[in-house]
Amino acid sequence: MAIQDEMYKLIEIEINETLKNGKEKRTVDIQKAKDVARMLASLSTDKSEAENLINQYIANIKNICNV
Amino acid sequence: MIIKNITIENFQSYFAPQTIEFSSGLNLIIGNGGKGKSKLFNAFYWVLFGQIYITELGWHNTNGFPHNVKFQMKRHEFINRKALYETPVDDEVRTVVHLEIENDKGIIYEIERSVSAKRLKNNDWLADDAWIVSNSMLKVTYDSHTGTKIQTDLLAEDTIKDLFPEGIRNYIWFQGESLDSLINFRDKNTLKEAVKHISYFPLYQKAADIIIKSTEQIKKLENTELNKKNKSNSEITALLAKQASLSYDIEAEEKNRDSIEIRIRMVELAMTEDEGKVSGLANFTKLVSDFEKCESDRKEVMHQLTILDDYQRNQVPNLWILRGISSMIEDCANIIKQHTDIQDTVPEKKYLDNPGRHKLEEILKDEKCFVCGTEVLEGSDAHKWIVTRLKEQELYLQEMEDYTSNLEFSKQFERFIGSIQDYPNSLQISLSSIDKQYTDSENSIEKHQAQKRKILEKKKKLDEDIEEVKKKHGVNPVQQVNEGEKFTNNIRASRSILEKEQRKLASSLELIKNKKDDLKKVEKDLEKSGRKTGSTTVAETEWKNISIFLEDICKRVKENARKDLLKKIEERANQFYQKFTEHDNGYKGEVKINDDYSIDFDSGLNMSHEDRKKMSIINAMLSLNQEALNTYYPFISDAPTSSFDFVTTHNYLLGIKDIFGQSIIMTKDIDTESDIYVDLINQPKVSKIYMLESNLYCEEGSTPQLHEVSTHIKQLK
Repeated sequence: MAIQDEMYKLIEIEINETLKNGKEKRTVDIQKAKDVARMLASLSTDKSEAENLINQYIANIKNICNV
Repeated sequence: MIIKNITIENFQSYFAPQTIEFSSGLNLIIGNGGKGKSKLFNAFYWVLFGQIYITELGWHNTNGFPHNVKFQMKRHEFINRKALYETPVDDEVRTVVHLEIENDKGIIYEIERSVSAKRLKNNDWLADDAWIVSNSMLKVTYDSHTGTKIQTDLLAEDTIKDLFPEGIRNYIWFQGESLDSLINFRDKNTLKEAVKHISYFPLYQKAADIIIKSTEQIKKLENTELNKKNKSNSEITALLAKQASLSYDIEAEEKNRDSIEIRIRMVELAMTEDEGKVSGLANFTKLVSDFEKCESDRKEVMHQLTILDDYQRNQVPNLWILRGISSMIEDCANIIKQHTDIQDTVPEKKYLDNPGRHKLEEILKDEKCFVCGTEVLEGSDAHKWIVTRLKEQELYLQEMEDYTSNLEFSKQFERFIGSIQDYPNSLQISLSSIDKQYTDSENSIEKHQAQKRKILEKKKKLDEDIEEVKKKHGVNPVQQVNEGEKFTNNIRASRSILEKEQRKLASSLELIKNKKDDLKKVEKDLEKSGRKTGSTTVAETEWKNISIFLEDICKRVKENARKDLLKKIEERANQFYQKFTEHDNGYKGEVKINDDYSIDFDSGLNMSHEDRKKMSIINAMLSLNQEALNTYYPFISDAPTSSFDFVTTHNYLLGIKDIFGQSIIMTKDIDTESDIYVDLINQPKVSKIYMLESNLYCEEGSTPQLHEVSTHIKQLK
């Protein structure tokens, strides 16, 4: 399994666990949150530094939320 | 990625072009000391990064030689000496290393670095000013979808950086000498650094960083949008201003908190170091006293040896003179003895009476005996007897006359002999005495030499123990024995700084908590106002909420991934460690890694086991990294196993060949005559084996100059 898929899997498990325990910090659309998580995992494998990926993250989350 | 081959020409000990082909699996380069293993390792590193490794100084760029006064390596010194020697004046010699690499996508990279040196002088050809050496030139050639690319200089360097990221280099281009700086049981930061460079964990860190930074940015965007939307609503704009101000304060305070935490970590690290040193010094007082006793014994023996040596130096000329004249002394003694004998002998009174001379002459005259009347004719026996007796009497009388006339001289001579006759004996006694003293001093020297050997043996053992303490505790117990107080004072000062910083941290955390509480309150107020006016939600709000939700999740995932990785490293390192130690019967311990990156130090183990643990950890991390990122680097190591015996080296190689897609190991610890070597060459994944030998360009039996030796590569498998 590719590292980003592995990472997403772990985030998804944590999301489900958090929801199950009612410990979420914000109430959000879970499907959208998972899509953002997948996008984030993919971004983390980019060669650029985190600082340089902020704009890409914002552009991507905008797309996910506007769908 | 695999290295397909390397061609080395006129680089260090490699004269003329020589190529080594490599395959996937284990590629082994065997060679005794000085045969060119490290030079081959340097060739790999030089072609890629322009640097060579210099013992105790580390990696240095060859363009920068000489670096400083202490390190005076000349610019031409990495060029092969035979090639330099054979270059005519005004001509140029070229050093080239060429590497062929195939990456995981099958793209072949041809990497070549070269320098040229022009000879200016015929004599003194190794002098600084005998050569003009160019900077090294780098060229990378590879096929891309747009055709063949040829890159030089910075572009070429960037391609190499992409192929071999900087952080990973020290772990995959592994120098045995640098093992301690890669994994050190006393310094948990080494494992933390290793995790940063050779694990997948930085990706989790990066995901968390992206979302934390993006959330901050989104909050600002949301605030701007809300402000725009609520220009006329003073209650909401006031709340938004407060929200922005609090966010700003929190951000600033978080930065302050981070810098306090960094300072605390640094102080803690310094304190741990000092505590280790203090405990090192305290635990090894006996070692120090043994060392000092040994050192004082050694000095005393050396002092005694110096005294004896001085004595012998002084006595040797005397001894030579006395020994040289001893035969003459003996001659003198003999001469004196002979003369003493002569002067003592008074002529024996012979044949003067019965019959006396007068009577005998009468017989001859009368030709008959005056007693019995017997005839004594000439020619008769009686006549002959009388003539002989008369001659004897005459001789005696002459002797007596001589004796009497020489009596005065004889007395003088006797006095002279009497005055000198003891001298030869005295000289002989002196000679024997000096001889005996010299022999005694020789015996004493031998005794002291034996003592010295014993002391040096003991000192060697103590030096090894001290080296071990230095490695384990970072302190030299002998040199720093009096610095215990200094370290204790450092610890006291560190504790005081730590307490101060912890107070600052507590107040910073408190401030952040309060500001965040205030922020939550403002956000709730905004929500309330929004419910009333319906204008506190913008598109960014949803992005923000999702990001805040995920930020919290990602922080936990990151921390879990970190702990999980450390557990995996520990587990896999133990698998390797078991393999490296399976032939050991004694206590071996195990690798134990804690959540804070510290590695348990086992004082019951020797250096070889420690090294095996460190290498197990590095191998575990590299193999986990390969599996997680699906990126395979060649593992190249020079003398990775200097503290290992042949069997451990064998097990190490068996482990290596299964861990890495390609490994190139240079070692001297292989006996090509042994059974384990036969076992090794027949193992699967052991692809190529080369032996490094020396080519000599001088007459057989004579000691070669450096320019008369070069490395010869012989393929064994």
